[in-house]
Amino acid sequence: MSRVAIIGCGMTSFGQQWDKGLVDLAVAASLRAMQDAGTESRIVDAVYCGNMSSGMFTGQEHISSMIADAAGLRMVPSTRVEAACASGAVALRQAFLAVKSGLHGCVLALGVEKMTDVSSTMSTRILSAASSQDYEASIGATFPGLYAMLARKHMDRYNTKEEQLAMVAVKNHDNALANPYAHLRKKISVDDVMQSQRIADPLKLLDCAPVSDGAAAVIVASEKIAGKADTPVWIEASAQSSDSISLHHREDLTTFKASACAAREAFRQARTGLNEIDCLELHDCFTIAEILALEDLGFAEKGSGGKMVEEGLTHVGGKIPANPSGGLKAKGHPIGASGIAQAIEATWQLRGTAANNTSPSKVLTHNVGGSGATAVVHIFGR
Amino acid sequence: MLAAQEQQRSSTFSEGEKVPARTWRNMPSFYNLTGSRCNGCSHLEFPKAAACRKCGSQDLSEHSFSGTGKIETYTIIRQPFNEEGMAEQLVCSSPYAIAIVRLDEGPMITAQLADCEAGEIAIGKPVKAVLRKISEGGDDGLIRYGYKFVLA
Amino acid sequence: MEKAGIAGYGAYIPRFRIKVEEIARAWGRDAEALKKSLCVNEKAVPGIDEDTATMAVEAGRKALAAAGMPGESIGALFIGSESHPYAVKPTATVVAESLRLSRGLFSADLEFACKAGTSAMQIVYSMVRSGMIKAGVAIGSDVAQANPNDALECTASAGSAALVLGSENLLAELDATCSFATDTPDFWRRQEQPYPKHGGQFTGKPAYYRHVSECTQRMLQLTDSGPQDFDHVIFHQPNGKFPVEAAKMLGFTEKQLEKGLLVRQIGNCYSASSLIGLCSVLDQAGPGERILMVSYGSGAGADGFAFRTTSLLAGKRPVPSVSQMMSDNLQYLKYEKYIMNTRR
Repeated sequence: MSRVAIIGCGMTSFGQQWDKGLVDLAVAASLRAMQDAGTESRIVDAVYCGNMSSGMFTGQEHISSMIADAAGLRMVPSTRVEAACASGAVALRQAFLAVKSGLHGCVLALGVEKMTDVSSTMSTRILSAASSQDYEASIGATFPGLYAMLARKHMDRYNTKEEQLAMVAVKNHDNALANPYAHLRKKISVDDVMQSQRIADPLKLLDCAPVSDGAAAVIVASEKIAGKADTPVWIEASAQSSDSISLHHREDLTTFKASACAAREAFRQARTGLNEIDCLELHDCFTIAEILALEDLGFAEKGSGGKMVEEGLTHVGGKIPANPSGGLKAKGHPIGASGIAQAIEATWQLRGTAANNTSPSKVLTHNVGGSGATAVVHIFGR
Repeated sequence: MLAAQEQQRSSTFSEGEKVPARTWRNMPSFYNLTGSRCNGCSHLEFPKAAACRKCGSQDLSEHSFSGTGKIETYTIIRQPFNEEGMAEQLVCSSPYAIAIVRLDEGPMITAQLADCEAGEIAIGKPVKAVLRKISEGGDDGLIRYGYKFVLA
Repeated sequence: MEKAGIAGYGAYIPRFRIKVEEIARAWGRDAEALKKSLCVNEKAVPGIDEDTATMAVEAGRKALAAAGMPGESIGALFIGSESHPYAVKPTATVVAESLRLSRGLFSADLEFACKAGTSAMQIVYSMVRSGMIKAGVAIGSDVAQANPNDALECTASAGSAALVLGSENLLAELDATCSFATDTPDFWRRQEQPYPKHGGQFTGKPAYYRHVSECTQRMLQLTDSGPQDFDHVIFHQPNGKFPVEAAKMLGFTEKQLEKGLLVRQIGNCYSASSLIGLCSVLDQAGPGERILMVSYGSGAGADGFAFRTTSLLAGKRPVPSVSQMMSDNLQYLKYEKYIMNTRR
């Protein structure tokens, strides 16, 4: 089978974009991606749009056609994809499958979320819709609350320290300083994290990714089309897995089995192993999530993710840099856009144009939906 | 004041006015911790499953859990969950505790811990289920009752 | 006619308390004077998510477990309260569903100020005696309301008690019951008003004392007994003074009163007040002991009951006991937390 590549990237800044609506953001990112690919918009023959909850955040549904129209892509099939915080990576995977199958040659995969048109209390409630509405969200289990319970369990079982969680935030804030697209470009210390407002014990405000507006888009193309592009980045693996939506249906509360499963499948597809990956974009919606990801993907021994962060192995320049973009934590987390933005960072890393360049030969991205009910792993190479 | 609230509430599209049917159909699980038992492999689940998650059998019968268990993990939620005008208001103190409880029969359940202070809660502590108000649809709405847990 | 009596009982008192001193502090009042006039030291406060229905479920579950009876065997459920969660929509169905009672249930919510719980007992008792049902549940449950800075705020509390009344396996037989009622407006609350109003000292002589003594005297006549023939007596407990005065006036001793007198520590849990007193007596009474209970509901009326315990009582006591709920695991609240818990 022929290969599939990313030939164009475009994104908006992540953050509070008071002057832009959902469609404005999506279109801006899409047009930049098409411009970057050097293609005319008429070459795009399908659109997949990752978005978690435009309906609840803005009242607008049916955004796939709306965005395609505004981006000048009338008459192409445009499909919205939803898998909570993994919506972006799932949209990318749909684009990948569509191209891989030979049905489409050039597909726009985009992700967008407009989150700041509602109050922060309302956005907390909307995000909790990614868990079981009846048996988690509606009884008051917020999203930070679910991750806090995972953190508590990890701390209890593996002696992980709150300071180690804080170090994830400190590192990712450091990385975001150089990223012009990042929401939180502010250096912080472990003390700052430890003393920030408590959200859901043991998680504090600076353990949490911010509520951001933003959009990200990539042009996914067949080998034939990509062959004409300057710097195609190949999608060597696109793997996805699912688990129970509720934490209480899991066997183990210190691991996301779906992440491990998707990673295994991704390594199989790419015919590669851990040792050949030299840069990671991980799903760090909360600091504990990056520690879980390091362990679940196999980069850290179970229980030692905190220690790995403390030892600096995941810093830019370390053994295996994680989230050189700043991650969801500091770059920002416009839910549906995050998975696409990870792919963009991977592309820029492989092109050598990323803000914190790590000159990798292979980059792995990891996007999680909800509290681990969806996990998507992509591997990119030159 | 009342009229303004009413207007705000009906414009909260993110929650919408809940038809009572949702509260009603969940009553067996919320009032009596009714889940299911697989007649094939005896696997117990909460809430009720459509097919056994262990063996896939669709031959299930109802099973009500005793409501005793132990805290598997927990958190103290300090973010506000309620805002003036929201259609559904959580009825709990602020902050409030949420736990994943391992029921004595095996399955786990996510629930609020009622009547307790942060300092009293610890992983492994025994708890028991009680019936409490979970949420209400404002002063004039339905009250949704259901399980919470207290330290045993 | 069937013999009838108590086959199981269960009380529920929330773990929260507030001291009269704390209420007095909040309003800048003289705590000692308040305590002296009311003879109440502290009161039970509901959790923020507790109401008449949830407390009734707790008491009901305990009573059914103590009776050793499954929910399907219960033919009637009547719940007395002056704080039913809805103006229209029964508390009884929430409780029945939670206790998994039979679907052919006779049920309704009752209101007669603080005696609605004992009215429920009379209804269930008569159904058992008539043979309409084998067993039924009567519950008194209240999250009592009081206007902030009203003296009533020092007493109005929360609690619930449930009795399973039946004809078999009785832990106490009900020998007789009677009522006395007149139209006496000593305490009232109009629809949609959050707090009741009361007639101050008018609630005493023409209201509480008159109805309680008339009813007690009728009970003594009905059972052909004198005050000394009862081992225990329980009166409705709106404060610590009224039941003690009434006992004295009617010829009962402090000793007869003490096991069921709880108001000093838990306050007045309205419809559950005399019933929790009864539960406390049942927790401690020996076999073959005689108990007189007289409730009082403003507006006004009193219900009297004469019980005789059996040898089954010792084996059917619910855990935790009333005295455990009054001493173990208590949490004392500051006034502001108390207001959050009781704001409706």
